[in-house]
Amino acid sequence: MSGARRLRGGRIRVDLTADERELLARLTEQAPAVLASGPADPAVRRLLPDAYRGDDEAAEEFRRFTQEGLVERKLAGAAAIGDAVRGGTIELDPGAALVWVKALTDLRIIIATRLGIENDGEEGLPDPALRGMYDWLGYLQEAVVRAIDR
Amino acid sequence: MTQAGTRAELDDELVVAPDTPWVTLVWNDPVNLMSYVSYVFRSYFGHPRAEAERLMLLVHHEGRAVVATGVREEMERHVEAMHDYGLWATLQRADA
Repeated sequence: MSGARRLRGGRIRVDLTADERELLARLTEQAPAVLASGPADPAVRRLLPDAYRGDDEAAEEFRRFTQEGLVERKLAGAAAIGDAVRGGTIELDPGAALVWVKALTDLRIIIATRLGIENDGEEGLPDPALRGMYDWLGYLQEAVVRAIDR
Repeated sequence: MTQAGTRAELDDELVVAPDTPWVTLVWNDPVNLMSYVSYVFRSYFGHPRAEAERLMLLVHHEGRAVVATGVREEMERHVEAMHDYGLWATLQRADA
């Protein structure tokens, strides 16, 4: 059974099946292509939203100063999960666990936009495989948050 | 009755007082888990659990909540941090 739990000493143990590791490896591999696709992609607009509403100039200025760092950290987070799932036992220190929950959020955001989920409670497009991934990522993220946060 | 401020306090007033406060807003989105949003408010802003839950529910039910107030540069740092966490955040003048 996959999931996450807190070990004595505070590290977070994440248990995943081989299929789940493979899925996370594939999803995290796609993060660079998504983030490189630019604002035409709704996933990018949601991952890097305007910081100012109704003030394009200020929003653009904010982007100039923050976007590169944000993208770098998001890519590093996805890569950290990718590396971990290709390795052995996964035990995360608190810093690494935080990187995981942020990166899992990014993956869920990308899949939600692919499913067309824009409002609370929407099912999105009838794509059972994608929907299954989305729900499972939510389950895993919840498990890691609970393990960090208990 | 009043007393003279120290030099540092005076300088602070000169810099901060004329500026309208700014706020950081977090907006509801269909993706983020309630447990995660509450965790972010606690771990990043250092809110006690009850306050984090209150803000999270405000975002969920009202569609948005003010999660911080202060000078513009500080709010920009908060918004960038929220985007790091994958939350949908913006900043604006408090009176906007």
